[in-house]
Amino acid sequence: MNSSSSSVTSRRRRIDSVFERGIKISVMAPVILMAFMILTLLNWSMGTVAVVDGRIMRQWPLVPSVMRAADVREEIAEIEGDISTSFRFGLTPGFIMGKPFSSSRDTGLRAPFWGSVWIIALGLVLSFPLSLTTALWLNSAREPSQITRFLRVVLGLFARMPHIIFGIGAMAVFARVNDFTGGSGSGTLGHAGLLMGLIMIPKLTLMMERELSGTPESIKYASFALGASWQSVVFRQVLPSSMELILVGTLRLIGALFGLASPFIILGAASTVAGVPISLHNPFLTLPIRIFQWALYPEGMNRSLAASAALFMVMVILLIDVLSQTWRKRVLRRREGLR
Amino acid sequence: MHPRKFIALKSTAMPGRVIRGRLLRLWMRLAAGTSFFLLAGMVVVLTGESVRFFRTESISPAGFVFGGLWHPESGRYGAGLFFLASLRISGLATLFSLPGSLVLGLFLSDYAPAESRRRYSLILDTLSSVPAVIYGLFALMFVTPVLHQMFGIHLVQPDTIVSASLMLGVFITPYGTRLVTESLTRNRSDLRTAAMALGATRFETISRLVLPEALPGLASALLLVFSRALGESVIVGMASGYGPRLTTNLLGGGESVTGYLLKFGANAGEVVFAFGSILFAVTLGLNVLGDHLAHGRFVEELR
Repeated sequence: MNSSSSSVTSRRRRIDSVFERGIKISVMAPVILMAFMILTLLNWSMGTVAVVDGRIMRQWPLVPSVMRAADVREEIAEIEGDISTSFRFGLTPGFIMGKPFSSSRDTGLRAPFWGSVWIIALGLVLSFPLSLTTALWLNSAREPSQITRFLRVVLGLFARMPHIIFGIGAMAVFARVNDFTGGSGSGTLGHAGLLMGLIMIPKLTLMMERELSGTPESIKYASFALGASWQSVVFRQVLPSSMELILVGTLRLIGALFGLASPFIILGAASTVAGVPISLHNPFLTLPIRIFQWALYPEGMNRSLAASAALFMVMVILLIDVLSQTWRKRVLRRREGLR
Repeated sequence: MHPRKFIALKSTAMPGRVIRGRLLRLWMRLAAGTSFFLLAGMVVVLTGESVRFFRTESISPAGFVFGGLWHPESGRYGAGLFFLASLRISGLATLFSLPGSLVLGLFLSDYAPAESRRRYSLILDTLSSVPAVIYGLFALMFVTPVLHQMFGIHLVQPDTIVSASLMLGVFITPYGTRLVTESLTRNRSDLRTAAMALGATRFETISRLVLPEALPGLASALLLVFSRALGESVIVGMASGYGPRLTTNLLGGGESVTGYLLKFGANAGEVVFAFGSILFAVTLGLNVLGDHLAHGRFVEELR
């Protein structure tokens, strides 16, 4: 190796190491961004509030309240009327449990939270059995036929479709059905549950099919060797062995769909809800929709309410995600011995 | 080996088993058919309603998409500005997410130590479950005011599309990263090992071998990410747009299709169906094209 190539080599090596360091540093960026977003939410969820005659006039988030206290006091003095100021912490248990705040309408999180839970539960009731059977069918097909390939493509396309389209499509369907049956409107919990079920079907089916096809080959081969029929194998071996993973995947899907807002907004969510829904004919409200409403009308305390609710929602979703991931890891570790 | 090859003995045809088998198969076919018809039926009804809209208002789809006059009260439904704003927001967002997706994708496929690769992709999956509302809220609380401070309140309109594009770009980056990682880890072995054996640095292998090889996959990822950005409604609805507008001002405002649907769709009547079916057609086209580019693979996703 002649020596004149060593400078070239060192340049190549330098480029390589610079690039590598650059990539490793830039990877921190999304994490920093996420942390910053959480901090902003925290900032806005707490702060000072000026209340006049029981109505909330203005609010200042945490950072200005602490760092520009003098300016804030000036601005407070500019407001007329009998002011009482208070420093509030946004994410209190009272807020979460739904205590109404003074004289204004329901500002707690209880109604939206249970609305979200209800919608997801209804959606699962509709889509879980259907998706499971469809996934079993896809999996027990002996060789990929035209139909299974087509169905898989269709399901994949629907799983990636923007969610509002589901909302608009459901609106269309309900409008037609209403013409038929003489009903009216589509803003009830029943409709929202059906919509959620529709959204869940493609995603759930594909996830289940993936888990089903991930069963260890040894189980299937052993069953066939003992003379079982294909149906027996699928229903008595593959399904039970994948069931836990399917449940894990469903949990993860629930976490992902918890923050889904757009199709329900278009379907017609309520703007003021009295309380937790108790019948399929109640107007419905979900947590992300509530945040959306508060964010779009930034009067009074709404920004702070939105931030607090957003923090709560993020915590719930993260909890569900972490739970499903640890569970999945545990199941997979147990399965290691079978391969 | 395919399990079928193991079934040398045809299942002993005990009558009960055969009947149950047939019943089961019928049941499963019914379920699969129901899934399909529920979804397809929804699309059919949607298209039907939109056709009805086009007919009663006597506009053609082309007139709807490219028309410039939007005045629903008097029956003028030229939604061109909406589509233009959609394209702008989504295009900018895709642009913003490109570097992030590439860097993160490269990291996950090549630069992450093998043991922690799984952990990083788990973190990525968790990041991808953050709902869009949060991003919209952040845009309202932080990004738009900061833009106001930076560029002055006259240049930046209160409903600037840049704010929406920035947040949208961040939102779709996890999705893009997953697509990029998939296309980068596709053909790992032979050529890469050969390159390493010949003494290429990791940077050279990536820039001269992996990336050009993965180009169709990356192109498909681009299309899919763009289609995802087009369909997102919450972020663009919250952060941008009150009314269709045409501005050349980069920091100006404008209402996108999805933002309009979100904010005014519930009471807007039949127009919604027209928007919906066109959006569906565009998304379908982009996705089919994207899948085709990547040789028929498709990415299922949970969100």
